[in-house]
Amino acid sequence: MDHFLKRVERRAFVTARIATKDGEEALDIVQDAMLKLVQKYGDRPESEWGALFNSILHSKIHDWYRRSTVRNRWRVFFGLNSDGRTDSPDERVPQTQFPEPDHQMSSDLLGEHLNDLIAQLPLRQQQALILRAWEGYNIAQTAKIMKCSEGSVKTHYSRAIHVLREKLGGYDV
Amino acid sequence: MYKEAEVELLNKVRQGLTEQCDELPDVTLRKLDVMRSNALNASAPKQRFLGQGLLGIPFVPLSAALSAGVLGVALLMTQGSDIDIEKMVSDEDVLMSNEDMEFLENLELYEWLDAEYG
Repeated sequence: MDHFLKRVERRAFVTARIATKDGEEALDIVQDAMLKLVQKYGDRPESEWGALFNSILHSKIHDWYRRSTVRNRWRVFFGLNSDGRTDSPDERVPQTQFPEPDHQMSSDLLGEHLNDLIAQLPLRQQQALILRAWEGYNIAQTAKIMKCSEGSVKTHYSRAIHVLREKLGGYDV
Repeated sequence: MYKEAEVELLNKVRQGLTEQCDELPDVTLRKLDVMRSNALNASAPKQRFLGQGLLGIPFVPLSAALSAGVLGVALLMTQGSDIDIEKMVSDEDVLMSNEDMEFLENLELYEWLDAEYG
């Protein structure tokens, strides 16, 4: 189990940090996922740990997202941001315009920009993309881990790819 | 052409995410180490909930008695009808078992794991 956790912890942290955009929140989520895997499923065969861990992790991320959505709804209602300060109306407008890509940008900058774009995807699209493209799960496995239908996974995944392609249109990918 | 571009894009996605893993600061890696140790040290299984239920009657016997009562009433009400009593009994078994709700919620995942790796 120690070896398994060591192998997956960095990826889990990066996944959670992309979703939460907060390192401390991501650490909390990974800690909860590790604890739960060890306590509840440690006696399951090792071949199942990967799917179980990802299922727990993405479920925790989803729970965090729902809680933060509720919290943010109240903050907007009271006109407060996370520090308790009031926002100007302009700051509440979600980002819908992205900087035009520079055709000659270096590979490093492209990677950075790509990471930013992944972080800006809606949560379910992010999850589908990470599970399919990075973790290597197929559609059926991803659907089980995300607890949704295979059709939903296909939709989230193809939307994510579409958005990335659209935003990176000018890059030499 | 489109396929190739997509493969290239996915390679970049993988590369970008993997680079994020490789570039994590030492302080984060140390925290992950500590968390892993804590999780492994706290691996003693949680005691199942057997707290006191209504009027001091333990929760599990109380819920079993209530479920049996519901099943009895259902049997009386469905005599002569086409309802599949065997299926109901099997659902009762699941509900009366000692497993927590999380297990029941993840039942589908376990069935899949069993079919995939079992």
